Amino acid sequence: MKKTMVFPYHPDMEILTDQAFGLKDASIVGFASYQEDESIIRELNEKLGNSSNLEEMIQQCDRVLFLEDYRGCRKEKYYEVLEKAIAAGKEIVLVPQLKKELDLEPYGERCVFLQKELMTGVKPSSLKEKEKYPVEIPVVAVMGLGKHCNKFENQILMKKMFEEKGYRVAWFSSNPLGVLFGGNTLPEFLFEESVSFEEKIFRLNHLMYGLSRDGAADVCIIGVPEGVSEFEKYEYHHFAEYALVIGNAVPVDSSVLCSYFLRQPIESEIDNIIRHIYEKFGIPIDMVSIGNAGYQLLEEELDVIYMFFKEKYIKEHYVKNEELSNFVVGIWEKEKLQIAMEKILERLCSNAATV
Amino acid sequence: MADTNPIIFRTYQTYGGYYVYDRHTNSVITLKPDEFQELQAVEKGEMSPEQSDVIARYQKEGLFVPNVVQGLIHPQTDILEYRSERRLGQLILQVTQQCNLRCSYCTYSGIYEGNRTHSSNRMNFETAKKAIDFFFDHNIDSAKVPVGFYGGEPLLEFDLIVQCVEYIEEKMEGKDIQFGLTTNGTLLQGERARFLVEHNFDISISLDGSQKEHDACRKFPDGSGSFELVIRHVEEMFERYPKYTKEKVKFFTTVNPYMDLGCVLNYFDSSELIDRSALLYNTMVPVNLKDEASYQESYYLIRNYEYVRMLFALVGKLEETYINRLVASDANQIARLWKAVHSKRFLKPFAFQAGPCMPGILRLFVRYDGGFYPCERVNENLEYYKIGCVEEGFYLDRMKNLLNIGKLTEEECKICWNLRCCVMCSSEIELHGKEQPDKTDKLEVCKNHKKETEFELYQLCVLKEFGYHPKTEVLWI
Repeated sequence: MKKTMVFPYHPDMEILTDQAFGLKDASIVGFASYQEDESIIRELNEKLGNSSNLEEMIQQCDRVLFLEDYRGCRKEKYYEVLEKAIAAGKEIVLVPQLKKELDLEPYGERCVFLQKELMTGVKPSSLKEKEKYPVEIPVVAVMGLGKHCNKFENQILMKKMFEEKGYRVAWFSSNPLGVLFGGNTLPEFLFEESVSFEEKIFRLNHLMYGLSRDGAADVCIIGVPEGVSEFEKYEYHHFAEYALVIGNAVPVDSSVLCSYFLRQPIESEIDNIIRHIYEKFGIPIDMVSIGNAGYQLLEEELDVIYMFFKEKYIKEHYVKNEELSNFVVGIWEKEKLQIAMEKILERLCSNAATV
Repeated sequence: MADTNPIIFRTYQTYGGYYVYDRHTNSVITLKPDEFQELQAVEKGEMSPEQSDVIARYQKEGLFVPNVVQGLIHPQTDILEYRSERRLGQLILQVTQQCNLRCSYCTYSGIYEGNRTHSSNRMNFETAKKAIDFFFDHNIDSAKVPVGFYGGEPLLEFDLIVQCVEYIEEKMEGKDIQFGLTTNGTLLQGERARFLVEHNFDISISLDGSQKEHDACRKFPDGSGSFELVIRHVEEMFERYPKYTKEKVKFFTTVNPYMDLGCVLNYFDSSELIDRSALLYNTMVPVNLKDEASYQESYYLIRNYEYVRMLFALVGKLEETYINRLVASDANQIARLWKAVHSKRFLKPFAFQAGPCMPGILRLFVRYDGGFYPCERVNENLEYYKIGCVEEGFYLDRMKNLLNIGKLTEEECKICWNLRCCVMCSSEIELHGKEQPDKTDKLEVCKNHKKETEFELYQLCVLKEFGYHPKTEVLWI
């Protein structure tokens, strides 16, 4: 069990706190951040019964995990904490997004990235480069409209549900923090600009084929990075390249679509999105998870900002639509979420192709 | 019986063409003369929409959709709460209500109905600290910390500013701090100037042009003008900190009925000290005044001349350098309208007029005593505008109320052709001694806004006939 201190503040800390039960071989000894985040960090640490004293936390931990700088703050404090942790002889782990953000050369091999790529028993060289192979393991995709729409939380809950029912799960997490919950990161080639769209499809197919041949997992969960379409001119989401690659590489049996917070979900609008996704990616949606974050387009700054709503706010503003099918569930409705996820399992069990 | 779902549009013609503005799609369509005539007949009630072939034809293309608006709610109402908790934009501290000048057009000069006047009320450090802490705790998701100091004359409270700056800098490790200060320039010297430079302040100095024009209004209590002193300080700034002054100091000119605008423009055009790009104009709107004040004819002549030059520049008949900063915001407004009528955003059942800004969110103005207000422009004497305080936090209901100013005229707005182009802030509404605006007051402003939109749509089409197309979506200022 690696005692982990996490730096700096990121909304994902809320997930690490709320889903702490799902951490594998890791425990959180505390969160640290810039001085100006003092109030929110104290609140998070209090939830876990931890101290907020940086020095104490560094002493207590085995490793320090550095998260993405989602706000674009100055980086000096990253280096300060990094050096303190190194001086205290602690392991340094960083999310891969920081590769481009920090100069890590002076620290050499002391810094490792939070990555865990799945290796299978099937050697890529044994497969034909331009041939797709059958994937005979049920695959569930968790996709979303963009960043911060609770895809990660849905993946954690989905994995938990399968495991509780006794299934062995192989999980490709769309968020590197998935590694802390026993998941794998998506293969790096998926994000490489020098790898063609076609090659990405073949290579992912080969990886999934290897996974199904190994027989080490009963079901596979894939978190699809970014969004299923672009947000006007603000966030292109690689024009849904990741969803297209996954949809082409793997026969996805079922999926969860994560949306931003919808004040008043309208069934016909949801149906339109589901149809669009099925036609565009060939991925069937069996559950829609309404997230707790919203977004706002800042027309004059040509930017989009994300808003992380608290449960109290959601409960006050969410207008329940009783006519909506049970497969549209809010991320805050934990029981309904579990039921909707179990329906996915039922669907997979009744799917002749998966027997 | 009135049509409950009318098709809402507005026809108009220029010398070069016939047009219709369609509210549902927020777009402008070019018409043929006979189409124009038919739509005018519908508009005048001489023909029913159902009888019109033109409407039927364009309906196939998604235009002339019968009114879908059922109610008015500002789209940002729901996110106001989140923004107030985690993403405030800018903090403005009113460090004093006192000023060492007595400018005749000043908001606090006593010429405005119900507005406060100068007083010796000053903010203490405890209140400032609480306001700063409140701002930090409610700005979690942003990497920027813009803090402005406002007065009266903020440099009268230089020691407090120093304390605040030191406190903020000590507390901030990762976010970008940007300090700003609006000053009359009379105290901008020596240690004060050095401190502002060292802490990279954005400085706005009020300067109304030549000595004659500036001193006509911007006076010390003994009646003497402030121009000489301000210019001396500006010269010193350029001498001691040339790079900084060029980059970070702006000059703010309040165009007012008491000045000769021509002399002001001549002064800045010929000034070797002040670059035109550092100039910002603000026009005094003579609303809520105790005594009437109106602009002279020469003001309109000059402004219109500059305006026409700007239009020529927009259609490529003049170099952009001919655009005077006086009318730069008008050029902006044209680009904004162009963008709006090309945005392809259709009306939804719950719609709202454009504006006002989210009160307290984009700017949080904190009065000397810790009271929260939407910005420095509103009347601090009115409870209506008080949206919270350092002790109790935000009063969300009041903020939502200010944001939803359109609710005052909900029934009228639902069927108003100008719903989508109307930009209105509650501070524009004349109160006639009341504590808060009412429907009648607002409808008066609505009339003006409709006229403005009619003019702007007309102008946009004329510009288009001459080849106008915004070069970039990034606005000029």
